[in-house]
Amino acid sequence: MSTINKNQGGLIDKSKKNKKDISLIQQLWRNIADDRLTLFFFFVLLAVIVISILARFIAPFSPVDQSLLRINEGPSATYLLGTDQYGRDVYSRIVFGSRTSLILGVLSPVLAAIIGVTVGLVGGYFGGWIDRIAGRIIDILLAFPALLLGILVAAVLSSGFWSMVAVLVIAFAPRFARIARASTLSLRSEPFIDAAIAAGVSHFQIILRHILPNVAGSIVVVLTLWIATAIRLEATLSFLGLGTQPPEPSWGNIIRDGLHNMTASPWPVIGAGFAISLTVLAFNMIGDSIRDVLDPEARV
Amino acid sequence: MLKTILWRIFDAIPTLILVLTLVFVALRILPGDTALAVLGEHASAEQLANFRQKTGLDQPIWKQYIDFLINSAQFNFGNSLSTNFSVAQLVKLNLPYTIELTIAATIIGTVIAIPIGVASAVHKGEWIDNSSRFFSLLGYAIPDFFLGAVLLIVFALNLGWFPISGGGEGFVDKLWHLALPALALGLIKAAFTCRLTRSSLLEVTTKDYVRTARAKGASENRVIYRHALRNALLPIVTGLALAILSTLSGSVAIELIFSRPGVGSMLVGAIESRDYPVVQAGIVVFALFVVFVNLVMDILYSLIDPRVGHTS
Amino acid sequence: MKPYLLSVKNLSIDFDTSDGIIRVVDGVEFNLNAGECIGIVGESGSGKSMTSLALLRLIPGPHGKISTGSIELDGKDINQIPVQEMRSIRGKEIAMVFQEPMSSLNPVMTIGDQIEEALLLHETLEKTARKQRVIEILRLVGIPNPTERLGSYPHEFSGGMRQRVMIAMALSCNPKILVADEPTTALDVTIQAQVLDLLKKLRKEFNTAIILISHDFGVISDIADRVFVMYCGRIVETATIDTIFSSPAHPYTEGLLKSIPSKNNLGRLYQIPGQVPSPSERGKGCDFFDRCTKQMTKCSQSKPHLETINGTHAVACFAINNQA
Repeated sequence: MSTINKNQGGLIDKSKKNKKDISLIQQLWRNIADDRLTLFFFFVLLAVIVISILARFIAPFSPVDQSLLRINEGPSATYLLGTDQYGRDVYSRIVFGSRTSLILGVLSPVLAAIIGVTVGLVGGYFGGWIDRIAGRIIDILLAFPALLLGILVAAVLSSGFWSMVAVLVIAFAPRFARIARASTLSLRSEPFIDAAIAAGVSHFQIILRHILPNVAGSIVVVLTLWIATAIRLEATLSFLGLGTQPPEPSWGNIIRDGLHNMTASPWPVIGAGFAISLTVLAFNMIGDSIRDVLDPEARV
Repeated sequence: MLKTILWRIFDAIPTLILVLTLVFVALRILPGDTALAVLGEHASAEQLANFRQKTGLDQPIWKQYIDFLINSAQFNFGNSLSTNFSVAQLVKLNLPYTIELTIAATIIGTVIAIPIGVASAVHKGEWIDNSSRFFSLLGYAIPDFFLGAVLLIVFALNLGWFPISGGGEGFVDKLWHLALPALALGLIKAAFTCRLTRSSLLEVTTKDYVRTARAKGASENRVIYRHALRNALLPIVTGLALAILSTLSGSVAIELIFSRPGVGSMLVGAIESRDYPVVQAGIVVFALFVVFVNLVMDILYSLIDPRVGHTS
Repeated sequence: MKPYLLSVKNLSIDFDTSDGIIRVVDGVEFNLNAGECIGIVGESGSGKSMTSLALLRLIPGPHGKISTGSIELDGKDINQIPVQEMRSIRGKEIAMVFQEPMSSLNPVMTIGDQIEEALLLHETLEKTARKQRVIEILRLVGIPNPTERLGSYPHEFSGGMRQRVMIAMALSCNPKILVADEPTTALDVTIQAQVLDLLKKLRKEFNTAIILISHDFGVISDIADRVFVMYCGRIVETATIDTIFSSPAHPYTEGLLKSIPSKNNLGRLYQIPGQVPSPSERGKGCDFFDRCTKQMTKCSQSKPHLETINGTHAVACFAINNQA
């Protein structure tokens, strides 16, 4: 702590000055590493991703192998979390379940982002009746909580992997669209866009060079957080029987099957529930860190 | 003031029609052949034709659309395929349970959360803030049905303090059946509301008029409660619409966990048994709910914020 | 010798930022007598607003704090008293009017309630008497139909009216000192004149001392008796209003006066060359060095202190004081 000398000038303690000039990625890493909780969840996330990729090698048994001989056994050295009412190894099911949850949870928001951003950007940029109609529909879709929308759409579509993707995309695309539209609108009204058009730059180039980078910024801020929501959504839908169908394991339907068998074996419910919570929490924490780096003013 | 309210109600009608239209599109146009989906692949041509005639699917699409709108307005959805009860009756039976769950959970969510959120903001950085933020974080991550399952296991199955299924008859019995489900939903809701209250209040305290209040010599308590909170509540009230609606959607899973009657479990059951008329009704009910809640919240907000809807 | 109403000595305010600790106000000193009006002139970043906030101990924490100095009100250092006591001074002995009347008034409270609040906090009047007082003050500041407008909200008023409401709120408890931070900056020129007239009238009627902060010399000259010119957190010159205009001593003051548009000078507007240094760019020498026409070697080594040249006229400048 330097002593304060009256004649020293405006900046008294310069020790902190050099922190600012590093790249975003480095800043992100600093944010993550500085907070022990966040760091912990960063590794949790890494672990979940690795597990889902290497599921086949990590899970000791096949998740769909049934056997009447070993129903509802408790945890043991062979069956780490015991077996369920069909004799399947709970641990293996949870390991494989991570795949479904992650693939759907990551793929769908990304797709939703692509679709939503396209709609929002085009609507916001060109305006007119396209924007009015699209805007109205988006507003209505947004009035529905994502889960409700998911349930309603799943109600009409048959089940299956791509149906689930469609459900999740429909649930999230409007949200991305709204962000993209807001971002586009505020940029569109900037004089330099008009100047570029007057100079003969094509719309496509303007969108690509000026609008898209900005929109991308706002989208990235929320993408990770919404991946967390998507995972939670998928689990809920599977739990309701509307998503991934058995015997294909998903954390949601593991809880569903497990609920009917609670008294005999609580482990499927507990195990899958923890898996969901940890993964969603991990994505949330990393998402928060990303947001802090890209949009520090949003932080409270 | 009355004018604003009437105008908003009036403006909700085209929204309503648009919503119903979207539902119609989803129901009739998206899934392909409904008859096939409901009756299965092995149905005979005759059975399919019968079904189509019974449910009006053989009519031209524009007629179906008009019929759909009229039927929705009158709440006439025909009869359930599995039980042959009137669908309207079914909805009437189930709706009260869903409504009481939603209201109870929302109350728990806000009554607990707002004071904690305020305390959290006022004592930022201290233990109450840190612990409430931690619980909020958990609430964001733990799926509500998981919390419900845990509560069911611990308090109903193991300890036997609460019933493990049903909705109950009579006021007290209903409350008893309502307790755990409402708690499960409400706690998760509380996590969100708490965080929102905190950030909203923190943001308001940086505003100029808070500085003015201090400059007048007001005590910190007065500054927080009379000046900051009143303004901080505005975004929370806006969030209330979303809170109620997301509680509503969460109720579907909770009803399943606790084997509770309600529109959600009715809908999910109908999806499973491919009870087409009931599925239709369920979707329409939820859609109507959404429009209604949004409308009420819009009106409420315009009453609270003197800046809205004022003819200046 | 009667003590001053307000005596500020060696006031310094520091801010803890991500770049380090920045001193935004550096060794400011001034005195104020009852009924007097002083003006503090400077650009944004000169520290003038912070100085005014310090008088009410409203420096935004936790990063900002008063690091040195004393603020004596009627002889008592209010920088040292407990917060409870400070609150009884805010609004009652010293009151403040802020720059942005729209955001400085609570949007969801009626103006009647907001003005009444000041009375509630400091005076013991019962409800009807309070209401009467509020109506009186509103009439005094020139709000038409005060009785009906008690239940109006801030957004229902124009900018000039809102500022009057703020002034009413500030004067409701008859403070000894009114601090006005850029009260006219957000207003149209014609409204500016009205507000300034109002301040002058109120000062005469209630003998309220006024500290007026502005970047606009024109505004200051309309109402102030004495002027303090601030640059980079320090007072660089002080004099009576007439002296400042007739014989400014500090090169910065000269530059400021030269850049005021006037009908006698229809050519290009004068600009002081260079820019105000940012806090991290300030060094140990005089902050005006790079832009100064009277540079000497001494100026880059250390900062000049305020020294009297003539009666109430003082300047902080090596070049001037060497000659004096």
